[in-house]
Amino acid sequence: MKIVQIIFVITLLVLFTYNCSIAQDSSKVVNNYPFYIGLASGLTTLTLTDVNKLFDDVVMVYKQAGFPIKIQRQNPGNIIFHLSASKDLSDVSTLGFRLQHTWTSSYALYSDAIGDLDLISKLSVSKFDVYYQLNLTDRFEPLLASLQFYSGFLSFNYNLTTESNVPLLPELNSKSRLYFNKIIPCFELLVFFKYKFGIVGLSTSAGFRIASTSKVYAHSSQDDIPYDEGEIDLDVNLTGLVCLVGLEIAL
Amino acid sequence: MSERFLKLKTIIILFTTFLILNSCDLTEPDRFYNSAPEKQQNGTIEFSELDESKHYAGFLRIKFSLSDLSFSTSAIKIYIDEQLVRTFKSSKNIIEFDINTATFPDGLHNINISVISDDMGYFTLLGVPVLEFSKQIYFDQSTPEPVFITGYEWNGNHPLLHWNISNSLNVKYYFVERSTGGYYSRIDTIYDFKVDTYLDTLQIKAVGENLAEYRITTSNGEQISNSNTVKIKYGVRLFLHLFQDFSRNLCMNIENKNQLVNLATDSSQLNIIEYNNGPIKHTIAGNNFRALSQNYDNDNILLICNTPEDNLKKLNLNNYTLTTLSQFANKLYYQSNSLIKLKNNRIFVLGSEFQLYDLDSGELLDSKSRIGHGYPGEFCLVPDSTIFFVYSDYYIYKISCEGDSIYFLKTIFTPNVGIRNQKYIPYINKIAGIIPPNLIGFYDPSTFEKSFEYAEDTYFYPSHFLLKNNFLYVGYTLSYQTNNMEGIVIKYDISSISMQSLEKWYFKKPIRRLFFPEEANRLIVFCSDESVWLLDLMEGK
Repeated sequence: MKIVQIIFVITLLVLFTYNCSIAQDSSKVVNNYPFYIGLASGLTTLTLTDVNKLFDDVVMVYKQAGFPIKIQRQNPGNIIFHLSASKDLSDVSTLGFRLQHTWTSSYALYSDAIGDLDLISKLSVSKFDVYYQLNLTDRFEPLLASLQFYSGFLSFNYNLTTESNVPLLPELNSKSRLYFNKIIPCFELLVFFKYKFGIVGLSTSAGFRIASTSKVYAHSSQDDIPYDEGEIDLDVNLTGLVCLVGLEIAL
Repeated sequence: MSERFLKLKTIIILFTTFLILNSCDLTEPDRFYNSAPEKQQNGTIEFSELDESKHYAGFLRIKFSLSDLSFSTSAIKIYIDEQLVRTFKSSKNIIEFDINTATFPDGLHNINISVISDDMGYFTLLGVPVLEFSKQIYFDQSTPEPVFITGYEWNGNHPLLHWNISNSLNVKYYFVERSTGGYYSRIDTIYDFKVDTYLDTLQIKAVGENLAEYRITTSNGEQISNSNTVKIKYGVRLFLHLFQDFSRNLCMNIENKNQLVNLATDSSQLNIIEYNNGPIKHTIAGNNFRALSQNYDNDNILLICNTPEDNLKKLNLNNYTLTTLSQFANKLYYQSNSLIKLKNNRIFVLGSEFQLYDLDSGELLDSKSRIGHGYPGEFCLVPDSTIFFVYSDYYIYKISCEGDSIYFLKTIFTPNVGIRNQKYIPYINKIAGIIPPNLIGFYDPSTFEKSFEYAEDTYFYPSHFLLKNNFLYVGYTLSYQTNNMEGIVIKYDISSISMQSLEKWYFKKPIRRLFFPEEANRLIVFCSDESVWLLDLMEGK
């Protein structure tokens, strides 16, 4: 995995260096390249293979114990908030930074005549990263196709709680939590299409994100008392689709 | 170009809308409510080996099977009254286990079977049954009342025991115990307490006064109580003794008097033995007897003596008086060993030659030379005929004494084999005899050709046989012990040459001689160990 990350960074640096040389050659045009502030919101999906598997495994434990529990929802695509600042370096390249936040969750909620059993996982991801954009089409066309290379950090926060509620037998009530909370480096390659509407600054964009993976380790608690669960790790994989609608203001 | 962008814009908007409507994680989803445990669940239970009419003691095997369940099981819990005695955490539907009933007080108890589904959430987790069954059983640790053996009978070749069953309801099984030598061993277990008979197929109907002793032990699984005992026997032992039992010339069965006339081999005494109601021995000593006639009539039997002046005597079987037939003084050869009385008051004597005498006058009517001078000879009469057969020194003579002469009708030589114990069988008009070592041969009396021969088994050696109506009783010596027996008597139906075996009687020792008393269906068997047995041939039928 590290090799992939290194290759990714090197590729990003090579592209950045190449793009800077183009910018120096056309110094007359550089001053015409504005600085953009972008605010957008939209939808994104996350692959989360390991996260889903962990939830499936926990559900399976209860199924084997006799609960015909069903997963009502499992980490669907969800809203993403996006804030970016960027400056075009040339006609074909842009350099910027980005703040993003999204979240998703999984639910397996069970009830019978005796009690409730809730398996809920909540995941949130906040990113701060720098990106380099390589335009594949003319940047003055309404539809812009580009490749974006991101490098930065993300805050990964995942909680998986299991809560039982048995009114007749309060001693069976319990709440256990398995949580992962870590800031990890991230690298992304985004294949990106942006369409600018006629209205000033309004654009919509869509892309497919290929993200690097990182390993995170779990902490556990039972009724809010931490305990050692043993080493559980997840590979965080945030690859997925992203669709945004937002405003981009040139300064 | 603008058309293409318009299409793309539309696709993006539609796709985004689709994701918003279907995928967004904005509200908590609907909870799944499992109502299955509250529904009526179905199934049947079948108990094996549990009888509500019985009482139980000691360890009890509880076995049941569940079927037609509308759910799959995760656990089956068994309670006796309110006490959990066993939990089976498996999906198998046939349950089998033991409980010790002694840990519960005597009396009526409820067995409750709780069946827990494997797919019903908290009902499964907490073991809440979705189906329950119950059965009542009675525990009783008291010692069971013993059975009473009422007797036995012979069923075929095996004893069939009868008893009155125990009145106790907590009988678990009966042990059938047999003793043949001082201690009892369990030979079988009967689990049905209503059974009141037992056929011991391992015990052969052998002749003996104490073949085996039986008792039935009643058990409740913990305690036992023994029944009375019963000894099985077959036949009645007679305390008779034959001084010489092989030769016809030395032993005569007087059927109509239930007597045996037996001449001691040293010629010192003549014994008259009654075998009907116990032995009464009459002994006539000091007459230097040599041989008995091989037939008798009018309660008289002829005897050859060694003394020349008293060559032939007549024994009255009613009063055991001896009369000297003086007309035979100094007439019979010293070597005369066999004698038979023919029709028309003739006697035929076998000595160094064949001689025909008139019994009244003692006149020698005819004589013929014989071949050989060794073995005394055996006669075989054809009733109501002047034809008879003599076997002597491996020769068989077919003789007719029509008129005053001896006619040799046929003479055949049976080298190295011989034929013994010939008898005429009117039913099939054959002469039968034992052909050593293991054959019974059947001859045509007119041609004296062998019709057929029969061997029961290669290792069954016939020693003697008797004829009664169309049944042949053959006594055998067994070369290899069968069921610890060395002798056997087999009854055959001789109406066909298949010699169908009808019945068998085993003996501990080889058979020497068979006799029929006057009464029908009784048989006297002499064995090689000098034991004598009276058999009721109808016993056990």
